[in-house]
Amino acid sequence: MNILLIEDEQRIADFIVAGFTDVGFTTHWEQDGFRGLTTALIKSFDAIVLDLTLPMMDGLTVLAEIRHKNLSTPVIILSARTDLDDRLQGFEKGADDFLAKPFFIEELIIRIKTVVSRKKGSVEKTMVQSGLTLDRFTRVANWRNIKANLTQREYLLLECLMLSPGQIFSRQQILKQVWQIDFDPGTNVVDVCVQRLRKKLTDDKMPEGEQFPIETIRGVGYRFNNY
Amino acid sequence: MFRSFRLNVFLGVLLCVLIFAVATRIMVRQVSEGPILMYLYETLDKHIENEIEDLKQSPKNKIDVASQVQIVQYNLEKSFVDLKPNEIQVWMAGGPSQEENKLAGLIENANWRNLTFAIEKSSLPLAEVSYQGEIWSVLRASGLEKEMYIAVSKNLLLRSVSKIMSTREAVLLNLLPLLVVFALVAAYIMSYWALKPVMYLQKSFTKLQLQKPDEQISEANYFREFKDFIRHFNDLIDHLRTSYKQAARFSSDAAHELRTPLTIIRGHLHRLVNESTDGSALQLELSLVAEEVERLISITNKLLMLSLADAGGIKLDKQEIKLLDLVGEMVEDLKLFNPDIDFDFEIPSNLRLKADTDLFFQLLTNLMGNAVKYNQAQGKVKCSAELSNGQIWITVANTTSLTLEGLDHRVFERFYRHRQRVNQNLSEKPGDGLGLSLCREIVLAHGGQIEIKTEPEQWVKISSSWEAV
Repeated sequence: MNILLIEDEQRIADFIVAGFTDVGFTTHWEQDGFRGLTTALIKSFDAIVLDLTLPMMDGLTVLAEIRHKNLSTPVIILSARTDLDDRLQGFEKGADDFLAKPFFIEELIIRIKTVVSRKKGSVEKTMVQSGLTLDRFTRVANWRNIKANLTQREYLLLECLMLSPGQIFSRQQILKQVWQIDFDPGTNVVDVCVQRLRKKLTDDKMPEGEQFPIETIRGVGYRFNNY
Repeated sequence: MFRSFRLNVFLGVLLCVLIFAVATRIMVRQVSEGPILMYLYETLDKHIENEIEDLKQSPKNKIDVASQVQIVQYNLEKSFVDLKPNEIQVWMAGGPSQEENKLAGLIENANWRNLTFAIEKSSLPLAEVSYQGEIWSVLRASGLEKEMYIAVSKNLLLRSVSKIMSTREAVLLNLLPLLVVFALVAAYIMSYWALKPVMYLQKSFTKLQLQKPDEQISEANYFREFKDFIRHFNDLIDHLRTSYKQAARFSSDAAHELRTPLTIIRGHLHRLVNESTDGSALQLELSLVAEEVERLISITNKLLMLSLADAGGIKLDKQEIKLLDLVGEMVEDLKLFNPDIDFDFEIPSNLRLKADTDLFFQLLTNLMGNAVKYNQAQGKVKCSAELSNGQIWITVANTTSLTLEGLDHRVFERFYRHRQRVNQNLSEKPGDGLGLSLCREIVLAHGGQIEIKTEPEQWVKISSSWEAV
């Protein structure tokens, strides 16, 4: 996927570019609004990641110009300004999504994938990763011919991990993205949910050496292995 | 009761009226004696004049001097009601009565002065002499062949003065109820009148909002004496507003500025966690640092929200929320997280409120989070809602491991943390002391109220009111 990143803060741009590279995205980085707009207009990208506070031309003007030129590339706004007004203005000017700083790179990647699929009108009915299939409509997961109906939370957890294969998700991150809670409940609900998923999709007849793709990283979190 | 300024003013005015009444009574008695005595002398002078005139018109040589003296004395004595024996004495110069009268011998060396009466424009020679400890006023009348002396006891005159004063006081006593009513009414009117500008000022103070930038109290509507006070008050409000804005802006700027480095730290940390060897000590340490960074991000976000609230800048995107669905889903999740805690909720299915969905969710998460975090082992959490006077009151009640003493309105203050636990052996789970103050700001931004109550058996309840649909 080819992404245009318009962000003036080099250190932020560095880790976004690194994160994108890890998942196979190609990134073109521009440091100010004017150059960002010019590049957006002359080159073709799958998505644009746009900061709001930019030198030369602010992010909202860049966005308005992009839409004025009838360019329909999906745009995701990144901003430290998270007021309702800022978000509304962003959406009014034609943004497809809004992500507040500080953000998880995995979340940004998931959102890029989502807006790109939505724009193309090709929301995949099934996700396939490392041999595990997840039906987005029926919430049925299939691994090594073992099918299981998932609950809403199990589905969201699996989808979250599958969208960023190879990335470690901390328990806190999972709680925030799947359960939308911002406090430590002091229990092992994430572990219980992962164990339940594992139990539903594996049985005793599994061939030796065959590993379930969700791996526990002791003391850290979980990762969906990218075979 | 005496803390009431109005009552104090009322009592003060009443006391002034009473002091005025008593002082007037005493002073009138003192001041009135002289003029009343003058009036009595004038009356006496008039009597004496009439007597002399009568004697003059009587046939000559028919009435001798002794008889003349007797007639005058008799007629004068008639004009006094409570006369005691020998309180009026009359004699004629050179007559036998003079020789008999002991007072006559004293007037030779007495100081004579003329009493001048304003009304009749006449004057009367008067001398005061003392005889056997008693003071006598001696009047000298001319017009007959020889001068006539009339001595009147001062006691008689003072008794007459007292009588006149008593008559006046009797009249006043009859008017007393009326005077008391007058004093009360006057005191009430005075206290009302004196307090009116203060009450008006108080009303203006109440209406004043710190968030409105240029709102001040106008000096033009008040008496001159209040202008300095209002000016100082307005200056104070301006200073307060400036500090308030600076403080709010500082928190907001600081929070904004922190977000960029936090994004970078979080990003790199995450990357390092991913890149380090699985299960290594380094990865574990990095993930612990990442947890602390998450905590820092959470505090920064809360501070930004609080600074927005301080500046009156929380913008609401109000939407209809079906309470039962939201609470039901949250409770189901929490049951999973905390199987030892007994969760219960009582929410009518038709209850819908109007609020900013994100903020309301944040509030509910905070309240439920606290209810779980500070609960007892095998404790209880109950969430209920009811419609009352067009408002929805949502209550999150739970049993708590904290001591109830100190669980009061202070929990809504920033960075206030109630750490006292009933069972000190329970492990301390750290909070940032901002959650409940944020809840209060969210409720206030929606125009509602929030309160905390404690009940026996370690129950604590936090209720908040919301606009019903």
